[in-house]
Amino acid sequence: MINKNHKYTVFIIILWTLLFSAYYAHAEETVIVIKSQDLSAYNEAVKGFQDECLKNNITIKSIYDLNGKMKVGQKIVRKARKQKPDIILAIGVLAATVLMEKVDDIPIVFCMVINHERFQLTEPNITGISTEISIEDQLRGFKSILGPFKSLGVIYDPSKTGNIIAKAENIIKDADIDLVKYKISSSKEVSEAMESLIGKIDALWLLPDSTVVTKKSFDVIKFSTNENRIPLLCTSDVFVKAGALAAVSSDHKDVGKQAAELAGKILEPRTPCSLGIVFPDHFKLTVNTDTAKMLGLELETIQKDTKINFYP
Amino acid sequence: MIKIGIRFKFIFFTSLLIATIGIASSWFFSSHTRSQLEEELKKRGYSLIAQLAQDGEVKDSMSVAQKAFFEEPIRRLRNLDIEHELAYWRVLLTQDIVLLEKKEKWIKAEIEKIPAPENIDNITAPVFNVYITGDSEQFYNFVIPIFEKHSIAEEEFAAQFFGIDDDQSDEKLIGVLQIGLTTERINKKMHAILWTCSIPLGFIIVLVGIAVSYFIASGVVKPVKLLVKITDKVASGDLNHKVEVSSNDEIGLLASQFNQMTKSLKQLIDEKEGVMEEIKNVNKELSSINLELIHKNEQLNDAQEQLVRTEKLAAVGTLASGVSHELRNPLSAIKNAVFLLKRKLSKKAMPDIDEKIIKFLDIMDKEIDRCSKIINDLLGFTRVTKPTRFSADINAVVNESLSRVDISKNIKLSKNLQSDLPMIMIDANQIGQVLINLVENACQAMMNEGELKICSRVSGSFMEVEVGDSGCGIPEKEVKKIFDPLFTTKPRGTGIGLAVCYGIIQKHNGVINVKSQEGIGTTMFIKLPLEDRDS
Repeated sequence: MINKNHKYTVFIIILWTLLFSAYYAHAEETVIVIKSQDLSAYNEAVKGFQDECLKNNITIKSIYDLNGKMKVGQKIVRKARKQKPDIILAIGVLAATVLMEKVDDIPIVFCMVINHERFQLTEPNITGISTEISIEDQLRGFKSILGPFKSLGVIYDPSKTGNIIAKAENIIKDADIDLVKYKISSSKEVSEAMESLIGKIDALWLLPDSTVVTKKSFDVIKFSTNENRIPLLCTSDVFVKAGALAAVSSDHKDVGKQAAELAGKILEPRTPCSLGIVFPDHFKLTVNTDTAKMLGLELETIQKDTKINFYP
Repeated sequence: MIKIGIRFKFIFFTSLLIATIGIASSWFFSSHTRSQLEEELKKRGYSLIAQLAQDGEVKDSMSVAQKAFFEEPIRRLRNLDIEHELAYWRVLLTQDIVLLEKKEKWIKAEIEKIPAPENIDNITAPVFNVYITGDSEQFYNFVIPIFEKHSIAEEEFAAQFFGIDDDQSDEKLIGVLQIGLTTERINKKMHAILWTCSIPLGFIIVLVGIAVSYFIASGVVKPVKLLVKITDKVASGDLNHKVEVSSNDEIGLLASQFNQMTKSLKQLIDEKEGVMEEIKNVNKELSSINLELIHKNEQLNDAQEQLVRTEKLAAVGTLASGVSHELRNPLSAIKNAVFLLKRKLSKKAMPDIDEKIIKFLDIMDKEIDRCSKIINDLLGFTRVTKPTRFSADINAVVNESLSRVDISKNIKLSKNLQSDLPMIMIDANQIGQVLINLVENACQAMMNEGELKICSRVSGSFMEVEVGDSGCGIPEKEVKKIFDPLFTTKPRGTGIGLAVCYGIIQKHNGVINVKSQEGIGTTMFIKLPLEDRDS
């Protein structure tokens, strides 16, 4: 005969075992999110990531904000390691670089890193989503607004965006567009660069180059292009809101979702290996209607396109 | 007037030019050096304040508004200030709160009086200005805003690229840092440069300039001076000098041309002197001919005058002789008639006869006598005969003549008769008549008052007698006419006396002359030959 007490004990053991198994089954897919600073764009990416994680049954254990500080980042990374997540999502360059430096045994997925090639995020445990849209997609987007154009001017600092230009040259040439380059090494040279380019170009391509794009220099570029009726084409909708004509850029929420999908793929075989760095699956075209009007562009044909965002 | 030489002018103006250039160079050098030093100070100031601003401890200290935490950053700042130019420093937090302000001990200005930046919320970039205190202390004032660093640069760019929320600010101003650098070191350096470099250099430039200009001037002026010296000699007529300048420059060319000119001039002057000598000789000859002609002319004039006078005398004599002869008899009859009338009237007492008639008769008698005298004189003039000469003592003739003239007591007689005079062959009566005439004329000229001088002497081959008076003298234009017959200056004269005298002396082969000065007196000279030519 089985003792009644034994029955309870067996029941507790079975229940504990079930609970323990369920816990372990669930805990194997945990993620920690580390964002470089508190930016709306980063938060959107986090939101997209969270939504997709829920679908993929991935648990986000913690979300850390480095507040843009390197020392804080190092402390947080140490703290995160102790939690032993299955994967870490790095949002922004600070988080990505700190994690690359400090973590080599946990898969890392990064996103929202501008011109990631500069930071050589190429470790075996690192997978990422590029912020930049492919050159072909960018050209396609710009042409949908401007129509075909012959020459595209670009101001760049070779130490920062030289890699983008190197890749873009052949692609732009294949598209029958003449790329007129102007190298600078300081934002003070922007005025001179603009004076040199005006008259030679049909449109100006503004790269995510911190030497070229500062608060002051952007005003100079915007004033010069508007005055000379040169369309200013960018890679961030922020600049469109500030007065540029158009931008082909990624949707931050979509990027977050894409990151979650990548995380799911990494976790499936349960072996930490790099899936490489991919372009965003989706991109958006943003147009400033005021600037277009000022430049005398007809937008009627594209205004019905719901994929294009018009500002304001 | 002071003459300023070309050497002085050259040295003066060259020195002035060099001095001006020297001063300008020194000034330019000084000002350039100063501006360089100021620019360096400005750069050091920017560098110092930038390093202070980048000091993390400063930012932290400002964040917590803890004054004490600044000690280390300031110590580091002062260590960086190797030139010891840092004068003061000040930390201001937002809302213009002064957290810290301090100055170096050796700065005179009070830190409270050094103006702090205002409205620091508006300061977004480093600010520079120069502040000068009331005591002329100069400070280069630098202000830099301190922002709370939001993130690393790449994340800041990410914020810019991806956009930030309106309530987010990428940079938050904590406060500003202010430092001041003194220009004292620059001033000292400039002072040192001025006294050890600029002034000595300027002085040396001026001295060297003066020395160089002196030597250049000497080189130029020496041949010019030599040229001037030779020119002076040439100007004074000495054409035998040559300018010895061997240089091939303009001065040498000038000297060569000058020598050529002198040579040509000498040739011309030699030719001229030859011509002049010839002209001189001709002139000399002409002068002697002229003198001879003048002498001959004088002789001719004298002869002519004498001839005229002689002819005049002859004509007058002939006329006088005829007229006198014809008047003499009627006058004698009139005189007799007057005499008879007077005698008749004087014998009878006739009370009705006016006394005036007697008086008129006396006048008539007197005038008839005068007429008779004139006639006699005229006859005497016509009857001057050839002198009968005998050896006579001229002094005796003079004394005899004086005794026969009634000389007024008011006339002082001065006789200066030379004793031991040789005897002379003359007609004593005629010569006496001449002397009487001359003495009477002298007495009349003096209006019976003055000095009568009579002298006798031997003069050459002549016996000379001089009769002088201190009378009214004869006008110059009338002097030559006094020996003409019938010419007189006296109101009652006949003009016969001196003409007679002239005739007598002429017949004695002598000469009678007159020397007169109006208002002073007249002197008559009689010259009689010591040897009788006729005999």
